[in-house]
Amino acid sequence: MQKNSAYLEPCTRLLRRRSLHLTASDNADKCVTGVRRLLMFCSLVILIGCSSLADKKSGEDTSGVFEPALREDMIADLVSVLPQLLDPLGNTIQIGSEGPAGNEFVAKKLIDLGYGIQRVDADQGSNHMRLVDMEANDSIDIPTTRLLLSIGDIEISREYGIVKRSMGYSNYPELRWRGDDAVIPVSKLRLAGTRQAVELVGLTKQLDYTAVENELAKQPEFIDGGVQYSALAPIKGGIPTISLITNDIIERVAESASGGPSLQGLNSTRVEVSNLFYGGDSTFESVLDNYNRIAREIVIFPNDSKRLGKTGKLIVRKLVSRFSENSDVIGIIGCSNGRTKLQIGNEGLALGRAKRITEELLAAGISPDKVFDEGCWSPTANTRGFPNRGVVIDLWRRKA
Amino acid sequence: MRIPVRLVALAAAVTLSACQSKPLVRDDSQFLPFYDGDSDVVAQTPLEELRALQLISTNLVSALVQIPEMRVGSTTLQVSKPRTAFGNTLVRALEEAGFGIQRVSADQGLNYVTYGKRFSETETGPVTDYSISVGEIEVRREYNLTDGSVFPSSVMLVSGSNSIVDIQLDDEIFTEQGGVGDSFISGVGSESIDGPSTDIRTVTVNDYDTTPLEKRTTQVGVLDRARQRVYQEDSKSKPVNLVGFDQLRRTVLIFNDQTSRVMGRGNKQAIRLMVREFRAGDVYSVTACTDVDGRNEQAQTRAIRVEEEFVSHGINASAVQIEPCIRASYRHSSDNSPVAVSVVQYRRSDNFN
Repeated sequence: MQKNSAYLEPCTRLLRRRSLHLTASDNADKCVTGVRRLLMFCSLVILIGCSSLADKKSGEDTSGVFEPALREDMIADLVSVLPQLLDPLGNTIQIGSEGPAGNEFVAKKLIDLGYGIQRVDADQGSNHMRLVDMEANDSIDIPTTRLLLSIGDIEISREYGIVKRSMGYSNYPELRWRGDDAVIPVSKLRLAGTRQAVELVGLTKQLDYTAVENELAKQPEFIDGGVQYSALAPIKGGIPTISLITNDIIERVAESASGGPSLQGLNSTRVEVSNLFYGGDSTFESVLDNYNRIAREIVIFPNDSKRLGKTGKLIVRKLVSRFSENSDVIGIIGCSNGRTKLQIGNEGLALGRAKRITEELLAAGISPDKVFDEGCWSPTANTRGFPNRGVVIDLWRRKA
Repeated sequence: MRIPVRLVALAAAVTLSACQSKPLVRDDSQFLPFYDGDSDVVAQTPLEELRALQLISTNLVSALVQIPEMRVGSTTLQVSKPRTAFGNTLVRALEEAGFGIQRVSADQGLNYVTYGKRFSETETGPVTDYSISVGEIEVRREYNLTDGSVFPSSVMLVSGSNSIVDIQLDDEIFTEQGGVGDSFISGVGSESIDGPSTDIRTVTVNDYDTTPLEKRTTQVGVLDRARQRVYQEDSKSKPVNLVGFDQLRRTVLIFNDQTSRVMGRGNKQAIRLMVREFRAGDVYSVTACTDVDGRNEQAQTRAIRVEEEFVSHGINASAVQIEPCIRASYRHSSDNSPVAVSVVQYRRSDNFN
């Protein structure tokens, strides 16, 4: 710096005087040399600066620690089951023009499978695709990640780990080696929003850490992979309320404005539903018109409770096993009739019980738009055939 | 120590300009489909020709989008891998227009896309016409390619649809190239003698129309406008008379800010739930604009976004009505807080159970 200032001093003086006469030849020479060195310094800065910018650009968008090729193997595994859930010839998938690393690869895989692709600039479309990196299980001793692929209201997710050749897995033909690394699932394939039976066609094996976690073994087992059904990821901020505003309701609200139990409430998906205690048809009658009821189950809840219990869960599971993905919907009427000590009142209890059953159905993989839950509630006992503290579950099948 | 200010400024300028300057590499990606294009063919085509083909493709597709039967937003077209430069720019335009594109190996599908370029020597001189067909619908126009510019030399001819009177051509994309008093005709006509047509006008192109490349109307801009016109015009020109209808459901969707077109999972789920209760004859009324002055372009865009969502669930665009401004609230133009779009489902009184 000292040196530089020595070179620059003559220039400074010259400029300060605002006279660049070459007659002061010594000073001029020193000035030229100084400027030259400064320019060389600038060039160096330019090169370093520009190259660092370039590095950033080429290195961005790799989404985490995994090599793109390994990430693509994970995506390929998730996408491989999609044709069993959505017919490629009859479905077009919307893909945003901007997205995380892997979006373009998903698009390529979908095209290969025969899907139509629609480019969208936001999140348009009933089959809009999202690829999300979820939090993975950090108790496993290899690097892991959970990837979630969502198409419309179907979610496919799985947790993957990276193994190295040195770990003793090089003999497994299932693994696709990328240099020294390979992707291996460390969980079952998780499906949400659908009950469709699916057979694994991508990575069919998985590492099972159960024995390691229970300290029964030091090494995880290499086992056949499986499919697990679960509920959709929660929606941040919830769903906007959908109000019911039929004339009939408006009249009845006016009639009962003096008090008494409410005539509408919000169901599990924040759709406003009528209180069936006072008669009238199901809020969803216009939909259910096209279906035949093929089974009815009643789950009885303990007094002032939303606890489903073993028997209740068993009844729900039995119904789920009869559910057919392409033709069925489920109607639920949660009831609470008679006195309650709970602050939420009969309405909260009735719709809460319906919601509890809905949650159980969604956890089994059933799509929320195939469940129609409503309620009947009153401080007095029921005479219309609804249970006083139970839930009626109907399985409806589309008319042929 | 004092460093000369001019010297530092010069050094800074040199530094910045060095980082800004990019090597002049030809970027073919704008002419290629997002997936499965033929980059070799495009690379072998002169840049000027590619630009001309891009204009032609944009012009043809923007007309196609406005044909109601095409139902842009919910239609999937089947296309084979393009083998020509025109094919590449055309498939790219279809992608940008918002059509779903399904790649097929032969001519599978109800909406298989065929296209062509025909050169003929006629009594009026050489003529090149370009066309695109989807099923029964065909859009065709003649163009002159001279000295690196391209201008239409006929009206846009549409066959297979009678709903052509609402088509508006964005022919200014041609005038932006500039000219020396050249003129061309702009309008839409039908192949059949008794078919409908739009107003036909003559457009003159002068040297002062020349617009620098970077300031010209983009392909996305033209096609976006064409798509929005379909939704907007439908509600404006054929509003549904809601006398005899009753309200059934109502919801209020919240968008994060004035400019956002992203609906988010919650809003999307609400639409999905409303759609499951749809019955033939129902109408969804969408109100996005509540500005006192009665105008808000961004609100209009949000309303269209909501309509697009209904359409993607298979609801016909004619069953979604975008309401005019209800002039209810004052909102400063700089206010970027969340905004609401109200959706009401109507059903004919005699269509209830």
